Amino acid sequence: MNRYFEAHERVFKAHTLILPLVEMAMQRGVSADLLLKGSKLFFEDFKTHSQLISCAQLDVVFSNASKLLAKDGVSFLLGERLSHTASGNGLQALLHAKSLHHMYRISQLRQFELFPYMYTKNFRTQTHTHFILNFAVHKPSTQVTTFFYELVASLIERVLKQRLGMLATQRLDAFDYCIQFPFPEPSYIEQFHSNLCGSYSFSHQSFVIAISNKLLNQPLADAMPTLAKYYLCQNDHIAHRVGFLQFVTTLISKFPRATSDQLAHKMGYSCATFKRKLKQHQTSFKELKDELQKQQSLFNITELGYSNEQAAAALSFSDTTNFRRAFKRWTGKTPSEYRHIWSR
Amino acid sequence: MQTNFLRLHTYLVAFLVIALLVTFSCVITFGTVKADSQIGWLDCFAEGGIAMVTLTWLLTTLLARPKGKVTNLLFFGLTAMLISMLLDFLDEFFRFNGDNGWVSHLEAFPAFMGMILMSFAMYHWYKEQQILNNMLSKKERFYREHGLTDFISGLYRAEYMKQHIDNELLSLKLHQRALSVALIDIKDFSQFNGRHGTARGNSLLADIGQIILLNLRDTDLACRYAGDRFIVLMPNTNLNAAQEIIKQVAKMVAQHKQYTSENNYSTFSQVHWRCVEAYNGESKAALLKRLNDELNVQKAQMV
Repeated sequence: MNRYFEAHERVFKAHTLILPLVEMAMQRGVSADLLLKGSKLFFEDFKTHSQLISCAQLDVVFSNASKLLAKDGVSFLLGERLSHTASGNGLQALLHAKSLHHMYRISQLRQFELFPYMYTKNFRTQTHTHFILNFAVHKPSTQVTTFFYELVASLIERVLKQRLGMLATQRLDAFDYCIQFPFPEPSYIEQFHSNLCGSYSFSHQSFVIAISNKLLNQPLADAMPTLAKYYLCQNDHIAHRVGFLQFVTTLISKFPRATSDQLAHKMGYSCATFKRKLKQHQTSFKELKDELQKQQSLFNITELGYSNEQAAAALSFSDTTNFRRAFKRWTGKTPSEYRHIWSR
Repeated sequence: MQTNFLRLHTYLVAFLVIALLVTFSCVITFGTVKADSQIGWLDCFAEGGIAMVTLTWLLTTLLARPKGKVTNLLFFGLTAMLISMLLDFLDEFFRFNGDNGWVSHLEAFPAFMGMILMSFAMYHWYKEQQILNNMLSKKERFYREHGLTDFISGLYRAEYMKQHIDNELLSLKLHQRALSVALIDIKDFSQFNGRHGTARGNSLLADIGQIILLNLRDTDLACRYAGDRFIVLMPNTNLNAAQEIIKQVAKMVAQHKQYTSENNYSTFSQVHWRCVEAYNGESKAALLKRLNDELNVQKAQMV
């Protein structure tokens, strides 16, 4: 078995995502067939046996949902439902972890079981940790990415609230925690007003969850580390597999100087096959590498206050002119313009 | 949730089928079939199309409407028109000779009768619509767009409200007409959902929507904002007056009991609410943000 899976491979048990969505659609006068249209999934099949579905199929369903139920905030509702309906040893371990940082580590260990669609990279400063979430399998359409971001934001808030022992009416604003969405403020801002209770802002370069280190390491009152450990030790025969993009990106960051051809060789593909596979996942080697360097340098410049020289050196650019040019290509702004906007 | 009106109209549907059968059998009995060369196919296409569309209108009317006088008038009017259209269409295939010539002479007569019936129907429909509009006044203001309705609560969505807030903000700017907006948030709604299921939760949203509507003035407008929040627009109202109105609404909501099938009920808790009066020159986005922020601060303090 491969260590990674591709967009068309049927590997997820996604009934906790699909079925609540079907139910919500039906409650709003949209039939299950319409919601599942084009995904080659049939509602009847879910009733009789557990189905494995692919990332591409999930995308079709999410895309239908955001078209048919555009302004109903179903992405947020789905996030909320997911926090109730998800089950399994991974989740149990998560719910008994001793701190948020511990939860993050568990979520990495059990990624395939918990949320294989996206993966997290973290960047630390003295005071805060930034978790950047990227798509693990392929690059979905803008509509679908937005749906995912809203879903994840809602899910994370519910889990945080539960773990921090907050009442339903309490707000997360009081905590040093913020979500940055990589899209401009949407027309249905009311869904954010009503469904999210922490701070959030729009028009960022990546989807980021920033949490203070203090909050991250604060012991959680309802923690039971031994139980968390017990659940982690349970062997569920779930192989730790990651999405195609996550696999390639990890390779790129492990071998930052490797060319596309060298990576293809490492993965056992010919150059042409590797290129074709990347294209099938709506991306290219250059795009992935750019994204990686962009996220690193943005963090270096805004959070660590690096100068252009430092930032260029951190990414092994030969000189600052090259770095500035590349930065402008990634973000549309020069580093100094970006610093200026950020400081305001 | 949705009633199938077609089931209510079994008698009317039966009548329609009989009327169509009688029409066909009349034509077949009294007419002689034309030769192929005599048939004008373009005419057939157009006249057949007219008959089909009339039939669609007729069925849509039955689908859309409950029983009653207006429905009956519309039904018989459209049926009569359909018969005329059918005669006109079939007349392309059949010839009525000698003694049977009356059939083609009479072909326009049912349509004429049908149109008289339809005119009566329109008059009564107008009367009926006036009553319905009156009932909808707090839900809807001078503009109807069913695409903006929230399916769960039956109220309009935030988008509809935003259009009206824009209008009112403009009139605040031009005529100094005060305007207040309130947000009403159901307390512990996610717990309610967790305990009683989302179907009950949805019907609670619909109930509370109705209670809010009942306790507003005719000039006010209530919509579902998002999630468990409702929004109320109160034109020509200052903050104090608006607070009095919403206080009353909150009181009525707190008294609500939701009955289940076994005659049990869940007493349902309260709402958080917050009113703000718009500043002159304030944008819609800023107003909504301020309102939400103030509600959030208030919620946090109440714990």
